[in-house]
Amino acid sequence: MSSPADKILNTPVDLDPFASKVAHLDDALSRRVRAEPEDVERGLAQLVLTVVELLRQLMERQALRRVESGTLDDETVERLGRALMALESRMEELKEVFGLDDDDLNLDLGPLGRLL
Amino acid sequence: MIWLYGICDQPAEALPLPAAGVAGAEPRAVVEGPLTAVVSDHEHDLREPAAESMIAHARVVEQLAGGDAGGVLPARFGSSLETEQAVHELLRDRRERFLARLACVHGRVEVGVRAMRLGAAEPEHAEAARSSGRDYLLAKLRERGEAGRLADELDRRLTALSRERRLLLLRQPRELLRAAYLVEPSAVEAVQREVARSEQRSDELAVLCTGPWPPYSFVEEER
Repeated sequence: MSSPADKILNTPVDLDPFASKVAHLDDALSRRVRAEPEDVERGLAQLVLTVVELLRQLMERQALRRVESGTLDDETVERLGRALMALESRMEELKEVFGLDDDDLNLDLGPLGRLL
Repeated sequence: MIWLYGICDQPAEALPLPAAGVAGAEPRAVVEGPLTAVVSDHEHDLREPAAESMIAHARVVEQLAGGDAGGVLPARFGSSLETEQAVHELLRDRRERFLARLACVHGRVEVGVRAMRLGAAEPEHAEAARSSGRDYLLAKLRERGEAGRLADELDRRLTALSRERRLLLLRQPRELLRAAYLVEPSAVEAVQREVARSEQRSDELAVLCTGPWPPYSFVEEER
């Protein structure tokens, strides 16, 4: 295998935003090794909230596309916006309850999390 | 325990088998009909993710992918089976699917792309955004901005250069795109050009592009 640097085809103008993922990987690996019983509840919450977060993001993207295309009337836009706003703040609450942050909601959901 | 590196469709003698794999064990071929699994034998469970094991695994997969006789379906790091019998069963049971996927990845490489939005989040958006549902959505649109549109366009252009593409739907904050593209090796330069061009068009867009990799993201069929 060639050196890791050879695998970078485009070095971004700013590398910092990409670095959080690296720390997360270490964390995920070490957590997998020490699968303590008391971590199980948190792990389940992490999985469920990751799925909910995926659905939230998909709904938000769909809503933004429809707003951008201008096909929605004012009342629908307002209703959609309020629903998504409520969902986002509820997600924040749940993350706090389970001591999770954005980096934790980054599980590989396999085919469920991918699109052709 | 049997460690799995990947599945190939060329005869065992044509495979570029390296001398050492994970934990220094020698990789060998298990043949079942037209398919060959590359494995190594271990007395103990090796699934703990030591960095050197990961590198050893990746090295074997890269060597298999680099052979010009055919392609490889890389096994995810940590894939293992209990017995050689189980390896034969795997190759037999999923033979048609493996052959179809091998035909698709044959001679192609994977390129990974991640795009992030740069620049500080604008706090006044956050405040104003709470006042109404409409403002909330408009603030989201503004935040995504030009960088978001460029990332969408980059994805469309790279998809056009690819045989297949896998898009990760779940995103991190500021993340605009995370995808893998299956391309001809000769198209890697064109991918690089598209990425560089997108990045140059906005101060708010940063794109990390890596590869060429063995086709790790393309082992499962498209749905």
